[in-house]
Amino acid sequence: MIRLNGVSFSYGDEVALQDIDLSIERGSAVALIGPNGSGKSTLMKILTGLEMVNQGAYFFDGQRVDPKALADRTFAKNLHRRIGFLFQNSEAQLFCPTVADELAFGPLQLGLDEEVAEKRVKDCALLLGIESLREKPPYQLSEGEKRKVALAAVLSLNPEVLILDEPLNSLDPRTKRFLRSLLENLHRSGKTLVASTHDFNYLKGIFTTAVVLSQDHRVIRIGPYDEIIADQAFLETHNIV
Amino acid sequence: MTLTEQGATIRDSDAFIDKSLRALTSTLAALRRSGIARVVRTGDAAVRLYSALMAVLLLSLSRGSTFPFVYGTALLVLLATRKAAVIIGVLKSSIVAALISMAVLTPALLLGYGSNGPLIALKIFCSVSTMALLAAETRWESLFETLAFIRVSNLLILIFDITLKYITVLGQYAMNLLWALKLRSVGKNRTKQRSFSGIAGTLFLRSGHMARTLHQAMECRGFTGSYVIHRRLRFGIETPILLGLDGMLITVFVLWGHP
Repeated sequence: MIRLNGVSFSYGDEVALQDIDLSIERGSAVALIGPNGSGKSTLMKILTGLEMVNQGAYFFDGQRVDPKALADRTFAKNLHRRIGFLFQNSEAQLFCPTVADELAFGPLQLGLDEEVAEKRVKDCALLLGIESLREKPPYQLSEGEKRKVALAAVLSLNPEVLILDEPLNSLDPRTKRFLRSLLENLHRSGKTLVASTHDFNYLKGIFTTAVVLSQDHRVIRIGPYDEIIADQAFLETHNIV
Repeated sequence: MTLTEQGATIRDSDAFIDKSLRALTSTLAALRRSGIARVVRTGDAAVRLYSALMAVLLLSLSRGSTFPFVYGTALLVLLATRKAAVIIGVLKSSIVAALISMAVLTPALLLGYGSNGPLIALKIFCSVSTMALLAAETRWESLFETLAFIRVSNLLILIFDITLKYITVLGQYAMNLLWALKLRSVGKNRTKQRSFSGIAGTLFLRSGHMARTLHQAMECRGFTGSYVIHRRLRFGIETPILLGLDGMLITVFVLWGHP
């Protein structure tokens, strides 16, 4: 479903990713792990179509994703409908006056009619347990609530692929457990998950595959998640634990 | 004043930090108050806004003191039914505005040309009280939304909403930076102003970074440059009451507003 061939990316002179080859199958759950600054967030932005590769090629469902393809509004909208992205900083992701507007923004932008959008708002609010926050301004919520609203806003688009940048970062244990079980259910329902994380224990049992990025921005290992997480010596050598 | 290692107090110039913190705190508190104001239906918020604007317009057009006095009395009665914090907030801003106008008109009064001075101050008091009461009891987001009904661009309304969000978020960030500066400002330090410009620079960079992330977040959710507010006009019990009061206001204006 997702294929990266020899992808490199840099911000000016600063290299963020080097020669990445990666393939993600439909319905899989992939954890991106690596030390801070190894390029996990950049890789996820490339997968979402927010950053364009400098070298190599990115294919989503057999179609090449490049500036030319994204210039086509229909293609861009379709890509964003199929791939949902949860930013590391939820605050930056929330911009509407109320939580209900926030959840409805995506479906309405994609041209769904108001009744369908409202149904999605209700369903997602119920799924994330945020019905009571519907009329509140998102920027006045707690960190955990903001994360839930941001995730609900992404889920309201009903994406096939869910890309999550540090989804459990700076959350309290109860919210972490809630999101863990939600991610487990989403994966079970057939969604493809790609997430970067340092919370290995909380996310145990969700991921099938782990992709390890090194400090020099290369993929150094791809394998079963449990096997890689159990390899303490490897993780310590690469500054992951 | 700060304490030296020997325990003696020395004068220091961190008044600007305290002032900035106070100003930010009050701005953020006002935004928070607006955020927790009771949710009103879109139609009700629109009627509130346009009733307030009409009252200000009628006050401006009125001649003589009868209409402003009648309106002012009714407004004070309405205000008396509100919570103490709302009353204090509204009166503080309107009394300050009336006093400033009186101060500006004092030379005219002294020269014998200011017979309308108290009337102007009264009109300013009533107008500012009306708008302050509206702002205190209606969420700013709801007020922005009502602009859509007078064909203000939906995208412009979204920009207002985002601006409001950024004032809160960056204000909170600036407060944290100022607290950090204050905590590290031990003893006499003549270069705090330099740190202050550092804070401004950091805020600028941070806002740029947040704006970029926001754009990406919008793009991710299908934003391609156009935005439509999908909100139906819904009215509650408040609308007929307000419209009734508007009718009474117009009647009073017609009868006593321009003798």
